[in-house]
Amino acid sequence: MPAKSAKTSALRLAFTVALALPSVSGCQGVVESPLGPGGSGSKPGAVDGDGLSNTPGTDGFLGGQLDALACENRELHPGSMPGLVRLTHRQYQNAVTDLFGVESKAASEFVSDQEFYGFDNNAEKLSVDSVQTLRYRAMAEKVAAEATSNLAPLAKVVPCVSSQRNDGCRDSFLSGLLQLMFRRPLSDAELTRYRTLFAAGTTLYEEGDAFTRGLRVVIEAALQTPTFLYRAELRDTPLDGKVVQLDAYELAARLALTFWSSLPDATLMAKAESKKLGDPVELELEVRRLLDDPRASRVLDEFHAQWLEFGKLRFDKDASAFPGYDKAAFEQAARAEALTFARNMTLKESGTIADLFTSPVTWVDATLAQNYGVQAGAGVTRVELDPSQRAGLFTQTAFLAGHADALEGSPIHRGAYVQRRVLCREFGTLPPNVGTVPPASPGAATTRARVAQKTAAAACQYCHKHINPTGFAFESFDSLGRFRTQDHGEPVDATGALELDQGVPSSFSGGVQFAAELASSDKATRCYETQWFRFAYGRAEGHDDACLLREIDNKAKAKSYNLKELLVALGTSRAFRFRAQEDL
Amino acid sequence: MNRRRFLRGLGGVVIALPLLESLGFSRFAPSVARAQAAVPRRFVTFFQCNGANMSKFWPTAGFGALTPAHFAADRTLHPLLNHRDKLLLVRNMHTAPKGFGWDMNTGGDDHQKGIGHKLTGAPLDGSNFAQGISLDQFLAKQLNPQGRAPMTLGVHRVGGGGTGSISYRGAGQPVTSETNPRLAFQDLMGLKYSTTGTPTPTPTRDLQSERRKSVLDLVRADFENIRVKKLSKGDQQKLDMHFTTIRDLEKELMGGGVVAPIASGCTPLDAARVAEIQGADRGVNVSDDAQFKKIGRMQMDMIALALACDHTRVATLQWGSGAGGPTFKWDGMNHTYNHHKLSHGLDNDGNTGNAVAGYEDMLYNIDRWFCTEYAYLLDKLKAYDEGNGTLLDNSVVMWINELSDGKAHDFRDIPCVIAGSAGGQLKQGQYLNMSKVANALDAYIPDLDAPHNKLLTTIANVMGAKDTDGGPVKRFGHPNYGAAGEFTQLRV
Repeated sequence: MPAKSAKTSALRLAFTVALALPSVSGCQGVVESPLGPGGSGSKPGAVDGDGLSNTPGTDGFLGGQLDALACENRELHPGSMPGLVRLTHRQYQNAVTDLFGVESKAASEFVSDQEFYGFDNNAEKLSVDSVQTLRYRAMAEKVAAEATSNLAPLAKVVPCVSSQRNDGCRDSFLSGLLQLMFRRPLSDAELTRYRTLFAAGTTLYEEGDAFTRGLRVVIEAALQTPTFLYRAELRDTPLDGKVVQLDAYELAARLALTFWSSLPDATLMAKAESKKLGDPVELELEVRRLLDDPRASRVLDEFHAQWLEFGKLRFDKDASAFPGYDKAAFEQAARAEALTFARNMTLKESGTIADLFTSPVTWVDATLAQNYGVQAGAGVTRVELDPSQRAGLFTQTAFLAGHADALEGSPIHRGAYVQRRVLCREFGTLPPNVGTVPPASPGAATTRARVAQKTAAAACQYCHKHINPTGFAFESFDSLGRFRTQDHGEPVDATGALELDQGVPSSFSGGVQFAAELASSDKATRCYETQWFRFAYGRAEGHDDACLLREIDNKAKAKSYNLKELLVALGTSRAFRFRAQEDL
Repeated sequence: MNRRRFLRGLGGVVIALPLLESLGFSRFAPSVARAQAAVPRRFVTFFQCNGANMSKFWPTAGFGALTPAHFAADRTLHPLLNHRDKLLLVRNMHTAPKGFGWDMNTGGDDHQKGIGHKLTGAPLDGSNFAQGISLDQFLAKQLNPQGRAPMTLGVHRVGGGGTGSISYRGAGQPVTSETNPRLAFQDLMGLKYSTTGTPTPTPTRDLQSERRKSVLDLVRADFENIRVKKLSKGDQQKLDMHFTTIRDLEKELMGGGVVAPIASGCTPLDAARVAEIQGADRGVNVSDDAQFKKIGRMQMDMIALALACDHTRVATLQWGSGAGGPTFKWDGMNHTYNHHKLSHGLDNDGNTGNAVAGYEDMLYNIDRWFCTEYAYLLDKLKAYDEGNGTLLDNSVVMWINELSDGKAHDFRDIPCVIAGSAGGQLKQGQYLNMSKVANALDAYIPDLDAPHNKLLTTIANVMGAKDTDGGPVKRFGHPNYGAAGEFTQLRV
């Protein structure tokens, strides 16, 4: 049962250090390891108790200590990657939508995957248990029935299925559909297997004609086969014993799964077939084509929903304090706003990383327009909010109201989120018993005063010296995220000072100024890049990736940190085109 | 094996066939394991979070045989009065690894430890996931028909990070509980029901099974295709795990596609109840607070059915998450704050809130409510007669909590009630102290002497599990924590 790996040694060290602290009732250990995690497995834990989540910490830039020179003349090796990566449930769902026009709800019907390093698509951890196998089967049977009851979407992929319906069409269907599903041409042996199944299927249903039954049984099987369910990168001719260049089909699959969260289309498969993707110029053109396609917005939404920790936002408000509050409408609007903003900034508005933190532009419906006190038209409208009050994602409603209690904003939740996910700071183990018997707060009227008082102990300050000033910057926003100047009858104090980047002190007053500090912080920029790295590659960055991250950073920097260019850099990086094998 | 032979194989026990058939049980046949004469033993974990009001939980009457006085009307355990001759109150155990930072090298906060350590006896890793297999998974591998995974159900919001899972397939492999009864039912009936959940009409040919066999033949061939390639260790493990589940489906199909009733006790749910379960998420979110009781009862009904029909011998039911939980507004409660907030006596989760007057009574009411639900489960299990006793008698049904005193995040004196004797192996009707101290909540932490992993070891052995050497399990959990051996005082 021990199952210790080398990866946990850093963890052990971190905990040992943390627990060696004298206090038993204070915050233990802000872990700012100079080294990134050693792979996509275990990693020093960032722990927040009581509703705060845990996420990975240090960005992958070796704490800024990596000398630029150290990356020169160095072979850029990516960290190791599994050769078999199960499709995420969203990829499965999107594939079924794109191929068959069937809205399967697979992402919510399947056994949910756990989060590692803040994302639920960890390549090493995605697996299939007995329940999921049953779910795959149930889903495959349902999708196959629906897909063959209306052949119009399938006919877009294989036109003859609604017209010709003979042996020739059967073969076009098998090679055409299965090549997309498996992201590579089929071997003769495979084709024979599926042909045999097609033939058997013609008598295995009561309903439908023989040809449709054949289609149906093949779809049922193809949706359950490992050839579809796993992204396989099993080419095993390493260049130098470990690093393997992906072949054109593997690269095509990675491209589509990464930038569309779905399967390649015929164009992409044709480029794989002509081996053009091996050419860096062609590859970059293809990444840009994928990002210009509407399917790319799925990926933007998946990433930002997870980075913003949508699963942990809570919108329960006190009905008497906020009369007329409609939780369902408010929550839906707030989440949609954040996703729309991040998606449009990236794909439509040529936004930069800094713009995510500072742009007063946003997209609101009537509910949010009222919350912001602005006029908006019907439906969702692009508006510019008061730039003296609003700047970017963290002065928007989802962040502010989702990290709040029923009556008041929560500086601790707001501050801890920004520290963990925007600045990649990792907090050590929360101490036992912390604050479980809260001291009274005599004379403390404002939220800020109460938080300050209850976290005043030196032991608490080990963590809260980072969390509190960050959270206090948002004190100008109430539980609904509305701008305010008064709190419990006293003027709001949203001032603070922090070292966002090591050795660079900054001071601020309010969310707008704090957002500007984030926008100019190297650490925040690199953290955002690191979050994308983890999501796009499905793994935490390892030591080997430090130079690759630097290279991605340099490319993005050369384009003024344009968000789309960052994605292009991720899709053309050596970390994307090559993989290091895991231990055999 | 065809159905007639199967029915004969049950030793003359007559199954109410029309009733079974009406629910799609018509194509049942037994697995080899089930043909054995012995009635299997079962293990259920009923898991509560956020601690309890410890001043009301344990009886005021002393250790020893349980009497009505142990279930006085103003105590948490009062709803168990009529079950007392089937109960073991397990007192003064502490969670191992310990909380409060007393054990080194385990991650997470006290909630995460309280959950992750509970069924594993193993420390948490840097992602706050337990570094060992949990007892339910361990037992299912050895004892379930075809080693099928245990049933892992949840109520409300579970999952997501270290407070998410009590069940671990292995180190760092948390299992997400299913909180949607419709999907759980689909899984349970997966072998016998069409995907719409309605019973398949009995055709002259069993087309569904034939089709599934053909599909599996092809899927297996595709698996073989990948397995012959050079794979990393990790890839191999992943593929093997998946492949095993495919093999299991094949085996079940060879048996006719079937979950077999053990005895006449395997009475299916009635049609109205099935309809309710299949509509569990229609128009509502199953994770909403308002659904808590309704969903919980559906899950318990399915656990009872699955155990009685030998679909599984091991099940867990996790009610909500540590550091979370619903706001109780039913059965006489009308709280303003959710379970976690109340566990700290506060109006927020961040430890900076205001005190909530009367929170102790609210916690007591919550605990009593959980006790009532536990009694509901016991009633369900008791209703299945298995010839040599009831399903409850042949089970170990453990109600255990993440923490003891929630306000302090305490890991000492964990509330733990066990019902059933695993077929006469555990004592019944007893209130027993596992420790030398009278109250572990007063004990100095290094002196604690009753690590809960000894209970896990005890349960593993009364269930009939084996250690790697083929003998009884010597020490369940991680070797660096807790202790070897059983709580022998629990054994008959």
